[in-house]
Amino acid sequence: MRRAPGEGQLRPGRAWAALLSVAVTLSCAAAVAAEKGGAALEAGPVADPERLRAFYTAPPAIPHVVTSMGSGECATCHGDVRELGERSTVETPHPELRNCSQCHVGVQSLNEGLEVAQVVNSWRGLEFPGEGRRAHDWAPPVVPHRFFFRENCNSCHGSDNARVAMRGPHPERSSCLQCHAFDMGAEF
Amino acid sequence: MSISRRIFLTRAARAAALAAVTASVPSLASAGAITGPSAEPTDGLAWDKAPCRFCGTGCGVMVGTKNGRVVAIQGDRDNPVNRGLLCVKGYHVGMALYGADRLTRPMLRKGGRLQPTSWDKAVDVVARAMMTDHDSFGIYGSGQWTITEGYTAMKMLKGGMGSNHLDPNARLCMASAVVGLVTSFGVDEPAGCYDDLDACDTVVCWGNNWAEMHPVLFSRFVDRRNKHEKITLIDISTRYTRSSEAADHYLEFVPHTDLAIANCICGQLLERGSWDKDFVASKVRFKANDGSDLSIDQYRDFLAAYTPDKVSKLSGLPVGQLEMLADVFGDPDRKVVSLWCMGVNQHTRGTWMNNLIYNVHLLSGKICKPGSTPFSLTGQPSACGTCREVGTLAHALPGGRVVKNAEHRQQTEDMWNTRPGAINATPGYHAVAMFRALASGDLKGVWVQVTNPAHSMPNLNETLANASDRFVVVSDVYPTATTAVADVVLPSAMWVEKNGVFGNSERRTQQWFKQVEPPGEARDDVWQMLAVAHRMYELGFEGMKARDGRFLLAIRDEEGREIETWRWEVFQRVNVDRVLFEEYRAFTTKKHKDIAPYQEYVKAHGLRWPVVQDDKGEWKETARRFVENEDPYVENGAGVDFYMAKAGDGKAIAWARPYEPPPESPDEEYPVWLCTGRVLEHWHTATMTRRVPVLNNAMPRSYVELNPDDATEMGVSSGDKVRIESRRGSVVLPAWVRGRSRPARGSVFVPFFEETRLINAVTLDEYCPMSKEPDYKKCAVRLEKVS
Amino acid sequence: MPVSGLVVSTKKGKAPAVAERLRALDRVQVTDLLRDSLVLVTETDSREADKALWSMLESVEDLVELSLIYHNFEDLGDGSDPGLCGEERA
Repeated sequence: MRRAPGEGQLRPGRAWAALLSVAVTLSCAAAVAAEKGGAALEAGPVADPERLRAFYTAPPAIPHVVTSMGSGECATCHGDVRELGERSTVETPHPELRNCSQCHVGVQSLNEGLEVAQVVNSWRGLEFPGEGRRAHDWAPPVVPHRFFFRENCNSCHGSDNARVAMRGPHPERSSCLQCHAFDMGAEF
Repeated sequence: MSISRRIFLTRAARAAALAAVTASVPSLASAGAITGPSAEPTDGLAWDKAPCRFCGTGCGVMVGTKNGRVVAIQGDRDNPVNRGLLCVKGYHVGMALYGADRLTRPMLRKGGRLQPTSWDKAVDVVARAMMTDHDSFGIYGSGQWTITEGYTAMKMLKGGMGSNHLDPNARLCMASAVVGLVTSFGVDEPAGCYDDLDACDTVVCWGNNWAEMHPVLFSRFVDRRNKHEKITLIDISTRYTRSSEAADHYLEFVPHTDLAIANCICGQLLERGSWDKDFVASKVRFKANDGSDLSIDQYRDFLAAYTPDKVSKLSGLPVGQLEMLADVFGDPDRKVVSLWCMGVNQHTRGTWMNNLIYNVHLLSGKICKPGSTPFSLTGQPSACGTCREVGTLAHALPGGRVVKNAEHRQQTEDMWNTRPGAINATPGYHAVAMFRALASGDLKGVWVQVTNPAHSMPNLNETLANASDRFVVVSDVYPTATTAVADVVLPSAMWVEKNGVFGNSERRTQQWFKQVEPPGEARDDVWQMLAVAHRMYELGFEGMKARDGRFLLAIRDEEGREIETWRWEVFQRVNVDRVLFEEYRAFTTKKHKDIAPYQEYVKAHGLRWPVVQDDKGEWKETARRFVENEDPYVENGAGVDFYMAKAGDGKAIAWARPYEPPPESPDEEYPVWLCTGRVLEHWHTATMTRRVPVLNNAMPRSYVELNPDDATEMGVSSGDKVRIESRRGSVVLPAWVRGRSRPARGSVFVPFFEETRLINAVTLDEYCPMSKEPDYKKCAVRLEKVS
Repeated sequence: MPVSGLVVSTKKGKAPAVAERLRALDRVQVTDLLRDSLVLVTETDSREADKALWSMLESVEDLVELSLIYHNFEDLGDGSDPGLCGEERA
């Protein structure tokens, strides 16, 4: 995977709270306070994928350089789980939607060396659900998230998924919905 | 009971009930729920619908609020426009409310600086200024105005002050489309709808990059390939974009020669005999540019100048591509949708180019059929609903009426209950003229609402000259380039902080309710206008008196009692949006643009007008206009009827519009074409989107995009600073080569969103003489590497 | 004018739909939309009108339960028994 030095690091934390301490007034009279992005995105699996989302169920931003014009090449890596050295890719849960760049944008997707004016925004996004609830300790947990856009269980819970914590403990069973019920209250 | 006591009691009622329900009153609905260790993610979360705040696609959005704030956004799965999908701006539209420098207090400029003040004071200052200069004061409005905001401005300025100096930023975006539709069909707004994208087999794009600008419509079409449908996308463009990448055919033409290309297709249809003879004979008339009638043979003679050979030389398209276009349109079995937006509209012959695309569809009979239609895409969320339908233009009145027509003026005066003769018969300044008049002093003041002309007007150095010497009032939500020159800044409520209605590209009117409170002292634009108008009335301004001497902009309840909506605490208790919407409705029937009662829009996920009641009393929308069995105004047996044709014959007009060179082309001194436009991540002048971290991080700054071969010759690589200079001004930008798009050789592209590097200092302020819309897509520049 | 605060319980997931139906009614203001419940404030001319309105509300589709939490009719002045008077029900 290519990483550009100086590529911006998204601030950690579940909620997209105020990003940097540098406030920017975007008016003609004021200069834009520019700051080069922080340390390069760490090598290795994206530890906290939630920080790529502005709120629970928002489409995640792309944590790597994207050089193609449109969306044609995304499927090369994200059409399936692909191993790339020590990393592997996330398989898209919605392959039927092909115009990837419509919803998934990069971070400092322009060439390296450009300054990014960070903006202060008090947004606090909807929290991510915790683990699925269980009726008793041995019951299969209820699916705690919505089904829409997450119909392909394998894309996040497959046994070769990059995020080890998300891998399902019994990959030999493929009929997930046989035991794991949906909470229609989560289906907004 | 006094109003304040009543307000207190209703608040107490709500507080008590809310306390009861949030203290976990057990309810039947949740009986049997699993109890478990973690809190449900949707606790306390409320969802309500709204159309997206951004583009003219008009996607349905579900807004998730909790504790008085927006916390999540989803696509509205029940909305037929987008069926649950959004684009990156739409997914993050809720964040636009929370930038740290949101305007929250009214401000007056004193000693060169903006100082906070009270609403009473600000309203008084504005009212007095408007009274003093009442015939040389303008309102510059917006295609992002809600319907009732535009309506209130009309009533205030045109009805109350007798001034027609009211024009919207949509003049810079849709004016050519409007005049094109009116000259070709006698009435504004497209006949087709988005359903045609599902039914067609071919889409032809004329100079628009819908993959970035109308992404949800783009994916609606291209995702049909997943179902193994055979569809064809033809991209006729001056640069290779994300849309081109998805196209089956990419046709790169010399800027402005689109006029010739369209005429070439028409010429070929006639020459090959592949035009729809029956349709043309019964539904189409031909006219020369001067308005005289033409026979089809005379029209054919006119087209002799546009043979494939000649047009190929002019436009740069190979003959084979021109013939391919003629094949496509000449095939009677093919269902073709043409789409266009700013490439065609922001054009010094934009009206003509709109007419010419209609000619192609009229000659080939590909109109008013499912999957076959020329469809003009709208840029802003309510350029249709507000500017075009409410008529917030210098020459117009609501519902398709015009100030020049005495009967229209009288109807409007009667409906508004103004003094007779209140409305001025002379059209006022259109957008570019308005700012030129401000520069020269012919206009003394302007109230700018929901738009940012100090960033978006062309040839900024001239157009905005002296703006800071004039009296400028700005209603907005963030500091902008325009608030920087304002004398009065009024903080406004935005989007779901107020009730509102928008109308999108496919004539779909969509309503939403207020869901969160505006911050600080920000208040609705409608309230601001009511307050200023009432202050003028209090100060004795005659124009603000209705026929009976009472306040012209009074809002009355069902029993006819006046509600003091100029008082903010009262305004908030009443759904003023609903009252004004119902008042505006009465205007819409004249040109068969009927809209339904407000409640229908509450229940629906938008409705496409004309919306008419059937015999069971149900309100039914119209998918396609002018077509029997779909449009209620077409009689049985009529087939297709362009019932608003000026001549009354139900026919559309095919205008013989010629090719004419652009006013400024590259020459020795300035050898490069400059095209400007938008990018996916940013909306217009980015005053909202640059304050959204996701969007700002995705596209943090502007650039100049060069053709790779040109860049190599210049010795420029990505990141190098380049000066772009025209006869009017210059700007320095970093280069981007092999980025998101590829300009043709000898041309560059610059997105216009960046406030600190205003490309509009470079652009040209020439406009289409019919529509008055400027051409942002082509002017001549020179490039110089500066680092 | 009697002012009342009510809590409505709806069928699961139906709160937005019920809210829309209720917003279409006169004299009824939907002030809060929660998961499967709504808070309403109503205002009528008399207690009879109150009762007629509430009976009508109970028949709204997908509405499961209607609870009166707050009721103030202080301006009626008909000397009637105060009854429930703005007391919160926990």
